[in-house]
Amino acid sequence: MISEICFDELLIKSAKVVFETMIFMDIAESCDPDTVNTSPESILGSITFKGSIEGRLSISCSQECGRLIAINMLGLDTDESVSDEEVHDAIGEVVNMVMGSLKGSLDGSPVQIEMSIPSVVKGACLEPCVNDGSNRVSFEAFLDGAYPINIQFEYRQAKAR
Amino acid sequence: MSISLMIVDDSVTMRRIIMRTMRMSGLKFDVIEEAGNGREALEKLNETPVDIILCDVNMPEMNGTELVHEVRQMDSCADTKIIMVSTESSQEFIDEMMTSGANGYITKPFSPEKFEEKISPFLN
Repeated sequence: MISEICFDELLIKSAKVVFETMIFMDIAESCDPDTVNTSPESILGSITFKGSIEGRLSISCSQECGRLIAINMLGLDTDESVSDEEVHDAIGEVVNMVMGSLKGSLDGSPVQIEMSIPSVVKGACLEPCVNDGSNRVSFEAFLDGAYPINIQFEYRQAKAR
Repeated sequence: MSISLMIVDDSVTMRRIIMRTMRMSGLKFDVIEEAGNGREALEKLNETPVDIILCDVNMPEMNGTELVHEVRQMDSCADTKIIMVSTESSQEFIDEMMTSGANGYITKPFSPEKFEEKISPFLN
């Protein structure tokens, strides 16, 4: 049943609705599969989920991109400053909303999940790791045509308890 | 007539996003209060009731469901409208919140138009 769900389409649709509705940034899938955030200062937001499937959704981008996301979410001018805490909170909310939107798309399907609280870290060249036995859907994109962002959805069938 | 609003969310960022969305939707309130969780909201409501509460669901100390239950016991808030704001979008959960005393429900992500549509019916 899980194999019938097109998670890559759901992930792209969920990310688009969040970035376009709440952040007012255009998000376009990269044609180049090697598009990566090469910034040494990265920010990574993740949220886990469990239920009939379990896994994690992660979003990573440069800290500069994270700052722009926060500025847009808060309705500030681009030259206004935002604190690290505001950037941290903003990325956490983005991850929470993308996952929430994806979860909403699964309503009525056999896949039912519960979400955790998001976590956000920053550091050098952060990339989400993939656990053994997990399926992975990855979405490389540009925000406003200039800022690389990676959105990754990792999932596997929940183990019988 | 003066209309008051309280935004209850443990994320300062989300409270600011809600205020930004409110401005963009054209909705205007004379008083806007903020609270970081249900308990803080209750303390403020005991002092000064408000007309409309926009309330997150998952919060530390006292969550949104518990806050709805408590507010519905308060005579001073008998006319207060409570609108839940959450990423949780299952109809079963929304029905549960409405049955427990909420007057409306907004799912995240939301647009200024959605805010206007959900809140303006309560502004008369």
